[in-house]
Amino acid sequence: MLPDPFGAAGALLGGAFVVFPLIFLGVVALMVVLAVRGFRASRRRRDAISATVAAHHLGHLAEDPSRTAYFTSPPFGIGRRRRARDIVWGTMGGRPFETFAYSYETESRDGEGRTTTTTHSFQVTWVPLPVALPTMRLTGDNAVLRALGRLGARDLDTESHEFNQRWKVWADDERVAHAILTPRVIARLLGDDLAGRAFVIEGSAILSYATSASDLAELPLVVGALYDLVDAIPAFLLEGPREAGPAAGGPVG
Amino acid sequence: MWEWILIALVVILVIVALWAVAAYNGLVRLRNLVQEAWRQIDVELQRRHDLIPNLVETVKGYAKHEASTLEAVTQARTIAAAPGSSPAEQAAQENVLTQALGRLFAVAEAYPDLKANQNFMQLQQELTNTEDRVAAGRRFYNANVRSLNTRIETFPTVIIANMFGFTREEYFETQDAARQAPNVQF
Repeated sequence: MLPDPFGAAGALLGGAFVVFPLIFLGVVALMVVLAVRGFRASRRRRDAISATVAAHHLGHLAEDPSRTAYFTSPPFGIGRRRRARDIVWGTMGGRPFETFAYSYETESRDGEGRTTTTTHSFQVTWVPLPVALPTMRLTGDNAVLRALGRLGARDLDTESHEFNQRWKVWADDERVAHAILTPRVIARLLGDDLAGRAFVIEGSAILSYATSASDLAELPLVVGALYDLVDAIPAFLLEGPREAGPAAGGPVG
Repeated sequence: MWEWILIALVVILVIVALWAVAAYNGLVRLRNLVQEAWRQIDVELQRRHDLIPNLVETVKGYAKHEASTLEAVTQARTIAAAPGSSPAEQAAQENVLTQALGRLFAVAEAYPDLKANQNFMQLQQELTNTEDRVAAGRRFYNANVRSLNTRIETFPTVIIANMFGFTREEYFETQDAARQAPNVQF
């Protein structure tokens, strides 16, 4: 009996006709499931925001492009297609605040020239400061940031080793930064409830952001933490610098 | 062959020289920063010392029988205001003055008229404000001293530090109100 010259190849070809459409259908089904889940999550988030807005008599705006230019420190000023959505503002405990979902896109190319677009989302909450202060950024510390800090920007070290391990601090004016980072502020920033957040003082505002847009469940915590920091700013920083007198000599010893 | 060895040696020497210049300049910059930070503390300490005579006079008007407390403050102030102290000596003197002032304010609690005196309240507020400035200046100064001392003691900058006579600076450790309240819960 002669062997069938197309037997093995034919079976392989027939199998491919079955397997590849199945993979394709599987991928399509997965994308549909993800899209539905994303849509539902987005609707839940919007419903939660609407409930919060109604319960606390807050202001709400679906989208405002001007908000994307409110601040210049990262995550602002990076990427393209910047958007500020679900802007909510009002007062909490009689003190004003504003929060919005901020996003921007970045593109990366692999070795074969394929472009991948990534959307970066944040929930930004800010409150006003009594006076404008030099820019100061506090972000959760990690090995990459620390390495970058060693290369370029100077990471400000405090007397608290635990704080230095957990937070990376960049400041336009280190003198002001040390004045703000009192033991009381350091103790507050070491609280577990603030893990994964970043804080920025820029101009006459202090803001906090965390990755991914939120349903505002954490709003009281964030606004409370921001005002904890505002209240801890020493009074003399709000008065402005005192003129230094004539040099009285350097440290002896 | 020898040419290449010579070129490699010259390149290495240039790299070492550039590093040495950068390390030296970095140390000088830090030392100047430490000195400038100290001068700022000195300004605030002088301001603190200047407030005390007025405070003592105000308290004296209401609490004449607290002569020993007032005398302790005046004496501690005189010692702290004397020039030429090192940061560690100055810190010790400031701590004595802080304790004396603490006793003075405790005494003031027993005199309602004094506590309600506008001038006294203003002086107390100004003193608190100045102590906050000293505390902030101390943190800035100590952070720079820490950076300088670390560079002076770590390899390879220790070589440059020893060659050019850079020495460790002293920390300024005082007991300010903020440092005594690290566990405050909001």
